[in-house]
Amino acid sequence: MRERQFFSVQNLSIRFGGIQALKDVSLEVKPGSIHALIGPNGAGKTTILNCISRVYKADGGTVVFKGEDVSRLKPHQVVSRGISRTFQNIELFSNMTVMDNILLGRHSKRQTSLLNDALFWGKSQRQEMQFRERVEEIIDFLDLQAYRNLPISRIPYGVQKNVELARALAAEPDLLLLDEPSSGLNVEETQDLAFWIEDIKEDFGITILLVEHDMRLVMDVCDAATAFNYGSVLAYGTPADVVKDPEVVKAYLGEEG
Amino acid sequence: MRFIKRTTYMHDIQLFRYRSTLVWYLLLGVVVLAAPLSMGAYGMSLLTLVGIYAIVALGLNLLTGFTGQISLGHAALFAVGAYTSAILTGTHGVSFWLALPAAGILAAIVGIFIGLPALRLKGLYLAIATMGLGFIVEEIIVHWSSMTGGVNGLAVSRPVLGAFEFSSDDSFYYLVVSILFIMTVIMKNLLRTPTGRAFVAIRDSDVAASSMGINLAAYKTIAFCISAFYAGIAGSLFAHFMYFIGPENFTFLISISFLVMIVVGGVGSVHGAVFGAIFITLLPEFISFTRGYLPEVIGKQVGLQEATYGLVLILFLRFEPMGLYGRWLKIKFYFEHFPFYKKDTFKRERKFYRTEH
Amino acid sequence: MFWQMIVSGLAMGCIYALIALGFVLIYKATEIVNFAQGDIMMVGAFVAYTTLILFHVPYILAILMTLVFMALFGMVIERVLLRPLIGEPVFAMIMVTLAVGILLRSVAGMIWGYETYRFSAGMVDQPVRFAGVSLSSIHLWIMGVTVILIGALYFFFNRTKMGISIEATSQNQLAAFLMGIGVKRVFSNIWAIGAIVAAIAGILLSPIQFLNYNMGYIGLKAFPAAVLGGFGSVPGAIVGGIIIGVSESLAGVYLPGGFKETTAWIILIIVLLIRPEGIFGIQQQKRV
Repeated sequence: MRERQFFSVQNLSIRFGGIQALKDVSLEVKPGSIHALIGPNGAGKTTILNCISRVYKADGGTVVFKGEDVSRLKPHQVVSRGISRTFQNIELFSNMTVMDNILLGRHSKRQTSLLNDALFWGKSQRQEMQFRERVEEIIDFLDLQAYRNLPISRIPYGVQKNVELARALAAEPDLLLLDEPSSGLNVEETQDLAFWIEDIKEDFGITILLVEHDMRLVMDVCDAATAFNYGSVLAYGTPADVVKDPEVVKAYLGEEG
Repeated sequence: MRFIKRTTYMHDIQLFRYRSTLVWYLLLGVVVLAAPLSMGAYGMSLLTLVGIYAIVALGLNLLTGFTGQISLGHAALFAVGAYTSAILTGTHGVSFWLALPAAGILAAIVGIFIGLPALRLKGLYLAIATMGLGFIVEEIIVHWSSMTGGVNGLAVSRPVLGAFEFSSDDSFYYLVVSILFIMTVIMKNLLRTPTGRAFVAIRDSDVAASSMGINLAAYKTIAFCISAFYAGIAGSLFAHFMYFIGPENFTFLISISFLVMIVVGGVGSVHGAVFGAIFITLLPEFISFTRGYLPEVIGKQVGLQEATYGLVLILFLRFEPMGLYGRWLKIKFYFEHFPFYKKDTFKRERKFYRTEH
Repeated sequence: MFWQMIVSGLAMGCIYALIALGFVLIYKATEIVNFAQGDIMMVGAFVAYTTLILFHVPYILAILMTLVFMALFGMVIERVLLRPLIGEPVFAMIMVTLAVGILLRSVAGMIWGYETYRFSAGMVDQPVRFAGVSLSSIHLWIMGVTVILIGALYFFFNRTKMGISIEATSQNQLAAFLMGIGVKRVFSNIWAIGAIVAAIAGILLSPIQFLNYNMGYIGLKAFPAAVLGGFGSVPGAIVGGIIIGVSESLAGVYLPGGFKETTAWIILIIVLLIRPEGIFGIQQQKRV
């Protein structure tokens, strides 16, 4: 008997036109761990996240989360199962304030009906207060107080990345998918990010699967890593082992390396 | 600048954030209620029309301004409301107070039927499908004359409440104002709860919205339904106010004029809907007033009103895309922050990406 | 009777196809949906009428003058009204083209009046016997000109340098720009082409319908045609236009009143229900 897995991807495949973007990809994420997906550009890392969150429809394979096959869900159902995500090229609601963006992260927790909302009485009002309370906690956690009521288009890029993280956290996921969280951040911001990622694991008990190029960050915070190239898994293990793997070195540096 | 000390989360959600705002709105309320004292019958009928159009514009703004979907057929939904109410009260003797919600609900149902196939796709398809709805409804009105009176139109009576008949323009004005008030509060409520935020989210980034758990098709359909409901309610009021409706009240140009209202008033703002309704109602008055002063070649033209619509639309989209409400905000901001006003404060983000294939 | 209705439907379908073709070309290159295409067609027909009938310019010269004028007209619309709005939401774009349509219609009414003109555009209407069926020579003219025009456009987009750069831009704007293609010039050229195609449609439409400031409304029916064919597909626009034209013509004979006017829209709703991507449609996906 196999023990019940927290999160696993089995034989995931997807093809865009003539390109096989993922070929029989399998991986497993242990509960309470920080797991990195690494590999050269175009290796298919983001595609995996997109398949898990159902932005892309995979051609084959399954994604199992807490014993349930989540690979046939509609895109909007994924978050209600406990998986939320951020995007590589920021996908915030650019005409809304930071506050409203994070509040949207709580959409999956919504209990009210359209009628409740239209009257804004009792349940709807209480829910709105609860949402705001939780959002303020996240704002405090990620140091976003100064930006609370500014529209997204008027805050710096690094802060926008934090708002994405905050929005994903607001959904109170069990598994958090981060797509290149450190890209575009300066050194200091990246260090802050490293602390937050560890805190998210420690304090909230959220498992994290992230795509990351910054190997320092991966080595510092991740418990496990899977390396890819050309849509296939090259190596799996602790970050330190994976970067030493000859296949991985070859993929990064070319044949001579 | 004003600051407030927030002591409860309610501060952020309240409709009137400052006490002074509340005072101003109460004052506005008094002016609106006292209007019949100082206005003649013609002025009152214009004000009533403003109220009716403002209800349509509120609904359309939810769909277009907040959810980012375009309807080119709102005149058809307006017509569904008007004819439902007219036929129910006229032919079947149903009370106006039942016919009014029925008009809204039927318009919403028609909205679902036409919207459902198009709402799964890009916004453009809804624009084309609703345009089709507009033309189909127009033909139905003309050809189903046993029901609609065809080109001869349909006579409609004023509503009655107990022994009281809303026959005077003043009493009908109060009816419209109270319904507009209710519809505005409902809209405001929707916008400060998850429902309203989901609409705006869909407009800004559909991918992110669906990853936050928003069912795109369902919410777009809800937005379209609410919008149709508003148009239906307004249509019913319009029919009972005008005493008489015919196909010429519900043409493609009327659909366009509804869109002009929200562009001129301010896309994505509740105030804007009212501003836009005022503008569209007063524009013909203004044009007929100025005709006498214009050179004869232009002044005598029949198409002057349409031309003005077109021109106003182009000028607003080009120079004040936030509409009259946006202009008002800028002026207010300028005085509040004097002398620190910067043009960039209201600069909007433009997107330059193309759909990737 | 049946075959006559088919042929007149085909002729009308060719007109729809040309209008649809015009805005699909503009849409592919610029992502702007031009709701004023029908009104540009109306302006084209009126300009031809003015040069030919009012100013008595010789036939060939009059048509050439019309097309040159319309090309410039299209360029001016693009440069003055649409280019400043690049990057604004789709809504703004659609509203601007709608506004342009309203403006053209009312200004045309001011210039040429509101009455309906008869304008044969130099085409003689005489019955032609073909395989036992009596056809109108005008219908054959329309189909002939449409085929030649489509052939010419095909040649232009595949064989000439300008055509290929437009095609490249419509596939990937950024890549085209980096390859040294002047994207702005491409935009203004495609509007010129769109306006020329519209003008030809207008000149062909006048003899079988009427010439009137309101004729642009017919152009709106090219939208169902384009959706039926698959929005954004050039062959789709042509096939869709022809199907709409023929169905409409048959509906006018075999169905009760009111159906002829709404055929196109009923077809549109059926297409959206069962095959929203149309006959030649491509599914599109945004990359995140």
